[in-house]
Amino acid sequence: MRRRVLRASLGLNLLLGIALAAAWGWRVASGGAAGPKAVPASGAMASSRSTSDSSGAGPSRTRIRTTPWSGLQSDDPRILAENLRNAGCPEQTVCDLVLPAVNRWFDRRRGEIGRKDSFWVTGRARAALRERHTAALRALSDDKVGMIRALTCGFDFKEGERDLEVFALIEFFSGFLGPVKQQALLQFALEQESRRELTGDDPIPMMGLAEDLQAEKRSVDEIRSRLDQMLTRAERRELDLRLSLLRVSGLSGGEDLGRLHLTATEMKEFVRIQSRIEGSMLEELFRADRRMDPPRSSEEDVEPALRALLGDARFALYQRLKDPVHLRVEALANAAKLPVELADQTYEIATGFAADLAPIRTTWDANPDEARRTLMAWRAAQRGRLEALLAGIPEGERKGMAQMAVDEAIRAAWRKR
Amino acid sequence: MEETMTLRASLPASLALNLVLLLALALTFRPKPLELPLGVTQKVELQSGGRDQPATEGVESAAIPVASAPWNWSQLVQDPLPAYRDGLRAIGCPDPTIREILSPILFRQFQERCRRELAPWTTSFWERLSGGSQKTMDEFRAFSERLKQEHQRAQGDLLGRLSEASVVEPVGEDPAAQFMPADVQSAVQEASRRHQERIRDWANSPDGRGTNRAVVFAALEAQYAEELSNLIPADQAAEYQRRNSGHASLRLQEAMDLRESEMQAIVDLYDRTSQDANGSARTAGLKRLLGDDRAAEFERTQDPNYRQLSELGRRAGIPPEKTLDLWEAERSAENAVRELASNTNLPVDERESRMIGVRDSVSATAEGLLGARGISAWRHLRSDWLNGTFHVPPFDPLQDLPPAP
Repeated sequence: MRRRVLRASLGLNLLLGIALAAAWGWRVASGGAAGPKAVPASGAMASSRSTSDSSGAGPSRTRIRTTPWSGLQSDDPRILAENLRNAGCPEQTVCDLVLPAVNRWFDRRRGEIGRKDSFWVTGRARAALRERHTAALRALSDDKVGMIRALTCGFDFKEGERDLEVFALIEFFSGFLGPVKQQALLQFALEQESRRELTGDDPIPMMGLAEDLQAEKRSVDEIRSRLDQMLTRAERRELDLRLSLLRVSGLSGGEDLGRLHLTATEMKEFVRIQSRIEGSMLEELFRADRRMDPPRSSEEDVEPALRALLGDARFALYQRLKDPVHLRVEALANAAKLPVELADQTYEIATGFAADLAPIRTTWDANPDEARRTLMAWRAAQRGRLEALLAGIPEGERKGMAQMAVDEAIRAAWRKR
Repeated sequence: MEETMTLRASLPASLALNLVLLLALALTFRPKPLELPLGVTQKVELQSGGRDQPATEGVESAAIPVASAPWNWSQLVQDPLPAYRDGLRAIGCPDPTIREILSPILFRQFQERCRRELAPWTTSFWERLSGGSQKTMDEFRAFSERLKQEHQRAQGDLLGRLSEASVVEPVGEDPAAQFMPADVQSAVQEASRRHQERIRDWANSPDGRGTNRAVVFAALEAQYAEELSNLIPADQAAEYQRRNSGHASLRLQEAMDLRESEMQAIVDLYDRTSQDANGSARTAGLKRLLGDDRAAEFERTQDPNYRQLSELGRRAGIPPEKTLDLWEAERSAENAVRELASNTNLPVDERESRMIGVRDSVSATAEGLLGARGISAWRHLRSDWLNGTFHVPPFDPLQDLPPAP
């Protein structure tokens, strides 16, 4: 009996010994037991381990100690957000970390959509590929927006885009809305920018087919609807006017409307009239698909309204301020620290050319050779006159300036014929 | 007797061994807690994304306190920002991530300040600009520039010692390399990048403007070819070079179906032949490759107008032969307009009247070929052409004058 029990016990020794050896072997292979709330290891961390040795000796075998951060990090933005929130991270910081992770996540997915093995595809196959690619990018763009919303984070500038000069300009032009509405508008703008980044490579050509026009209309209607939800009509008009000022007055180019001595009310009306030429700048800023030009008025269409607003004297001054010759001479005079009246004098001379050219024009058809010789002589004389006037400007610029002014005046005079 | 004694001793020993083995098995499968390593002062290695880096200069050994509860963010000192930065380092947060946390916080602080200081401006927007927009914008630019510089200084003070490495260093995809095995793609891309850099450096150097440019350029190309040959077989290197040719963009047309081998041969042909005065060498080569009709079709695909009509036809369900007829009608109209424009024997009014007739004729042709679905699209696509082409250009009296002395 005792012998039987001993045999059984020895057999159990053997079994337990084998089981223990197997368990140790498994544990060593898996690197230790996992805890009850294991979070996925960071892909970035893993890749850093795998590419860690830049000398090419291979990845380090050193085990990385567990730190609070290593338990939080994840390549998946959703898991990262959950980990951070569970760890009591402030909500704004959660979003500050999650948004770049979302961008990286979707940059990787975008790369996967890339058209492999399609380099030499042509014709109808290329068209089909392009359309599939575009559809996939649009779906990806929707996914990205959906993920950001699901994570209850808004959009934000990327690291390299945080520019206080840009923000100051935004604040100057839209600060009247107050921080809440301004933030909502900025969110919309950044969302549209985010979409453009993903879908920008393969826009569907705007052919003007019925479905293209409908898609364009839907896009514009959606933008208008979103803007209506965010802003009152008066706020929209005001913001549109302010943004249009950037384009109309050419502020970035330094054209000075101050010389027109407009009141604040006149200034707004001036911009409103001019913006009829370019359309709504506010809508244009938000369009993810900038395919169709907005309906526009021409410069000739708006001139009567401008003349009525400014009166004859200021309108004539406005025409002069727009003249490319005047603008160029003014810029040169500023650079050479010459009196700004120089530009006016140049302009006056140039506009007087039409009267000088009239006799030459009338003889052109009857005797073109004679008229041509007269024109050449007249041209040389006017150039010399202007060069003398622009004496303070460096020689190369002076000659070029004078030539441009005279030749432009000649062509303009002939166009009026 | 002796055997009974041995048996009596062996059984308890075996039973005891069983107990020990069972205990050992139980300990092997016991789960470890997820909490921090406790009670030990340790130097935390900083991890910086894609590269091994030594601990950032200036980081001290951080004592991680004994904790009996899971770690919480509130344990970090979050104000002032330098303390926050140091605390993040202490918990093992990589430098690029510290930057991602603190940079927006600092930026928002400056945004608030910007709002406060610009508040008087935003409420007097039009008054300020009507008083002299240039002066106003100069003042505004001075303000924003000053604030930006302050922000950059503050950012440098706070984050300047952090690694500049990004969290993930994406490797840009090169479509030209995708046909190669994955393990050599990045090496080939790197070789290509180095080659471009050498060319750029040489071109910007004094030698780049010298007289032996062709010789130096050939040597650089030979060096690059050798580097490629060390990485990939000759046929792959040739294909990679072909894909990077300036003429590879010829493939980017959707108007004509070509086999891969045909497209590759066309690129090689264009690389070999220069564009002589009448393109005869290339045209002859194309005809040999594709035959006369298809060669003509390929040359048409290089015309953006033809491509546009072809795309319109494809989307509107119009047969290709009709879009070809329309394209030819447009070319004929342009030729007619050119002839009329230069025919100074006719008065301007007469010439313009005939031009309008040409325009109406091509529009009618388009309507007949494209039908209701396509004609409005065609008018949209061709609006600039229809409005701007069918006029006698204004006479330029300077056209034949000799240049100024």
